[in-house]
Amino acid sequence: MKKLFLSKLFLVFSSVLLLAYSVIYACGGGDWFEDWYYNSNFTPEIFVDKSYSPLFLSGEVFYKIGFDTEHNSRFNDEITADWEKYLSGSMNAETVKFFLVDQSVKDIEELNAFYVSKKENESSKKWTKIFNLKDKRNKAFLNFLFLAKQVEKASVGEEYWGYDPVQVKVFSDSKTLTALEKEYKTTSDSFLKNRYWFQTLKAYFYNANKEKTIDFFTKTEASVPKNTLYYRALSYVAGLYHKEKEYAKSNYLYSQVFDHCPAMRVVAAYSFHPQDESDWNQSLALAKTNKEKAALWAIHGYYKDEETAIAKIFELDPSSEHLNYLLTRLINNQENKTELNYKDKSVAENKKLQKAKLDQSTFNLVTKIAASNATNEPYLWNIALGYLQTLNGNYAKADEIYDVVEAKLPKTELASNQLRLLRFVNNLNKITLINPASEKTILKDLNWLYNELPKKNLEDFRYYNASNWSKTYLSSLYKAQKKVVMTELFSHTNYDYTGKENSFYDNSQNLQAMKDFLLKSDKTEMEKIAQSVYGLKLRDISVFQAVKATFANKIPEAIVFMKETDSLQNQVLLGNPFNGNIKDCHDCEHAAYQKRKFTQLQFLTLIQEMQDKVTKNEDLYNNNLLLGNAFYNISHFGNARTFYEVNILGYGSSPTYFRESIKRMIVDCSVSKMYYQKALAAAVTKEQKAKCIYLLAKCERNDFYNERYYFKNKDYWEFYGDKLNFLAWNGFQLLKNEYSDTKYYQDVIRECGYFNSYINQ
Amino acid sequence: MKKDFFYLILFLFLVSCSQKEKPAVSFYYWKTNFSLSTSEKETIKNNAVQKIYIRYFDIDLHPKTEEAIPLSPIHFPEKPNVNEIVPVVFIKNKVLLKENLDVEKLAKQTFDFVNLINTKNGLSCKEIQIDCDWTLSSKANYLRFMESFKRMSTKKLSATIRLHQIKYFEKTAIPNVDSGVLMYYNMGTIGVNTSNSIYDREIAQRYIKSLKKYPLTLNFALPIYSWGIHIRDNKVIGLRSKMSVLDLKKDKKFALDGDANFVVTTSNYRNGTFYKKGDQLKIEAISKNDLKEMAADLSENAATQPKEIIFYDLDEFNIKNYEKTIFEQVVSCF
Repeated sequence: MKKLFLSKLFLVFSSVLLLAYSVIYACGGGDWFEDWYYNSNFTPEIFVDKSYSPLFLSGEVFYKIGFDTEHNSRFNDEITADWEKYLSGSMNAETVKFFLVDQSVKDIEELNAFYVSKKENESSKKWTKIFNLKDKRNKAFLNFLFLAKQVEKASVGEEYWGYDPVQVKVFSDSKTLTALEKEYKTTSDSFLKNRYWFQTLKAYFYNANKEKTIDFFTKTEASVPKNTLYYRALSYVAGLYHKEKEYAKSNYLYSQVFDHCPAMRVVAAYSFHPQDESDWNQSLALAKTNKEKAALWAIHGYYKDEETAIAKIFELDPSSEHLNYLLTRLINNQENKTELNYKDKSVAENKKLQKAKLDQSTFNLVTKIAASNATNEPYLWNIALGYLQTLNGNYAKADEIYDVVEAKLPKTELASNQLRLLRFVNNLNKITLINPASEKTILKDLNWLYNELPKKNLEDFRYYNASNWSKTYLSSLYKAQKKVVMTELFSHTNYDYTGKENSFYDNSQNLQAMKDFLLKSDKTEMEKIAQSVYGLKLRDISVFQAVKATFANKIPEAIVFMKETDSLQNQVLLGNPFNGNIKDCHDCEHAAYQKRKFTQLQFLTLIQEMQDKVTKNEDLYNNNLLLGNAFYNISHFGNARTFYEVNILGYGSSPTYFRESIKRMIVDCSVSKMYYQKALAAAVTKEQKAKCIYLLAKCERNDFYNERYYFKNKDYWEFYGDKLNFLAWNGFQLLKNEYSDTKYYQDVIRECGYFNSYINQ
Repeated sequence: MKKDFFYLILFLFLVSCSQKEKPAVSFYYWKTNFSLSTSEKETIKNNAVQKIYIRYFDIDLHPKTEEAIPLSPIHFPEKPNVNEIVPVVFIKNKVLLKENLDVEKLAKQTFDFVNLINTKNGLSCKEIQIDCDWTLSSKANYLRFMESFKRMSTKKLSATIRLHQIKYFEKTAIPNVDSGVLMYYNMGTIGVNTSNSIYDREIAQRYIKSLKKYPLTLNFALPIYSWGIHIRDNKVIGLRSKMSVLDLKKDKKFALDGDANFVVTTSNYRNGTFYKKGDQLKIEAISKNDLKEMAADLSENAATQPKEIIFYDLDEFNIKNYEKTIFEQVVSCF
């Protein structure tokens, strides 16, 4: 019975669906939905049946799944299992499954024709080899399928790229309807009778005959077992009431489906829609028992007032299972209310904030219910209360609760992990000063959190928040105790590729302290843990030092640092860093054929050699020109940006992505300018001079960019929309006035758009 | 004296706008069932509307299979009683961002699906419009999609254009279409303390000067919708469509706090949404004066006179917030 069920309901409520979609679309890229999963220490999956999981707190319509997508397949497994059991001994499981969920329409129709006409056909010949066609139960199954498949023609939606001009398909085959009802009335087999009952009701529903559907349902429901088929039928009836705008009745019935049919909880929650206060109150009035009233509050609680819902359900039916999922929403909601900020506030201030944000009525309610022991899972309320006690700053009380609750927890890995995590959060909160004694209380848990848990594949367990929060918390404590290295080690909660968070290393004392720390061999346990969570390694610091020394033109120093960087020194530069081209186009230069490639270290060593030659006055023009090119190429404007794109400096195509000190360093062309000037002084031919003058003009142009955009942190679009992107730089004027007879001048005109526009002014 | 005269001219310009040939009034229809209420029909008649742009379907990625699929295709319980309808297909940008997207296939599917809807409903069209907020990263796929679509379709092809695409057209590119529609709304961000996200003149001014240089023929789409931004604990939790200050003022469970902000005084259900005590609702709407200001600004900066002004969207809830002659008043500003 593939795609058997809810397409009609789906269509009835497609307007609701559309609204929900449009909301999400309107917020396209919507960053106003919190990332609930990563902000939480409280894993709802541990305590709550999985039929509730789409209803966990989430910024999406449904947690994890977004939207319900199982309209056509929700009951496939159950239906198959039911029939397999019924037909066991007469038909094998594989065949049953084929007829129910695969492309079996042709076979079913041909087998029906065979039964009616007694004439053999392709399907009868095929299947007679597999099962006994004359077996009573097999025959009954195929007869049932033949009729049910007729109804399916109206109940199953089109393929995605198919279109039916009628919004709602109507089942108008009265012959089938009569046949179904007749089978329902006459069959004595209770299994078949139940299924014919459901198909008859479904056929009436798709026949768009509200009165008959409801009439049939009302007259027969008492005799029907209250199984999944019953609640599926009840949903049809609820859908009809909704369509007729009888919201109170519809919502009441959906709450019954929610209460009794776990597989349809997500459907019932989606379809439940009180339009205003009065129909909600009427629904409550329709509920005959406390349990029914509790079910209404349970589904209402999904629409975000968990607290009232919990209070009401607890009064009406304290052992209701629905309380559990609502409690997880309540706790997750509470977690989202607190936004801790250790950057600007101290640990103590954050605790105050956390306490102030704790909703007292939530706290009182959970306390009351936990004390009652009347719920179906008392330990859940206790563990939640323990967590709230932590948030409230009552760490000793939290401990007491956790001690008691431990023995009552379900014996699952997730549950014991949850308790351990909450205990850890409580223990860390107790620490206001880091010393060997306080460290000892958390060391094992820190190792577990940072190093053991990530290796296990625990999809549902929410420990990321505790992991990040604890690092920030510890960093904040170390900061107050002025331990700079430990502060820095725990401060790297989020990797920032722009390197903007790495200003620690702009202070040479900090840098040296970190290097000394990383090199020392007698680290304490805590120090080992701190190092293990730190994103940067010793080699990152050395390469950072090498790059900085290079930009400062301290090449021997740079070489020493570069040699400390194990594999990084052997990284190959993408273009030839000694080339000085007319146009700055690093992509073209990377793509160009290169006879010799240079590693970072070879590059520095060659610079050193050239500088030595310059000192000895050897080939001054060429050596200075190449040195100018080398320093030009490692700047933002050159072809070797990867030279400076390392962890501590950062990565990015625009200088404005980097922190201020680094930005100024990578756009600075003064060293290359100095070498180009020396090359110009040593130049002999006019061609040589023209080249130096042009390369100097490029540096001049870069200074213009820096002042106009980069130093002002202007974004790409302002840059792009600016009309003034060209000036008659000195070099351009000189070139035009004195070197227009050189070959190089002609090359420049051909390749350089700026220069071309200058001479055509 | 000369200065006074200048102000007089300016004043006349602002009040009466101009006397050139007026653009036609058109509408977008953005619901999933085409069925017009009495007031919607009246609006069409009173404004001699010749053309309705009807949202046919959205294209999104299937949440599980990641295949491009059409969402909520339109149904026509009644046939549009206007001279011309223009099917509009909204393509989510994320569809075009999908790796290895078969653009040619998607264009074919989209084109076929528009035709299928037309055939099954006995409709025809001369133009199809593609609505997509493409970005630099989806630009290549978008342009290829439009090229393919144009090749398959012999009909006129138009595209919606956002403000930033006008200013930076050299970068964001201009699709190969017969004309564009500048969407003069959805300018700002939806937030707790932000200005009106539907229209903000200050934002518009940053872009509008570029209209003169924009090489594609444009019509203008102006907003007449309003919505409520639903805020809880200082966070936006949703957008509530079809909400107006006037409506909420009548509801005792909402207390006015400022010009267009409401605070929920009693938890309640309203139009199927649950409002919790303490929640805030920020109503964003477009006034008559806003519409005239938009028209005047656009008219002043437009490279050429638009042929149509398309109002978004045709819905009785939107219409009832304005006086009957509003559409005529706005188009006469061009």
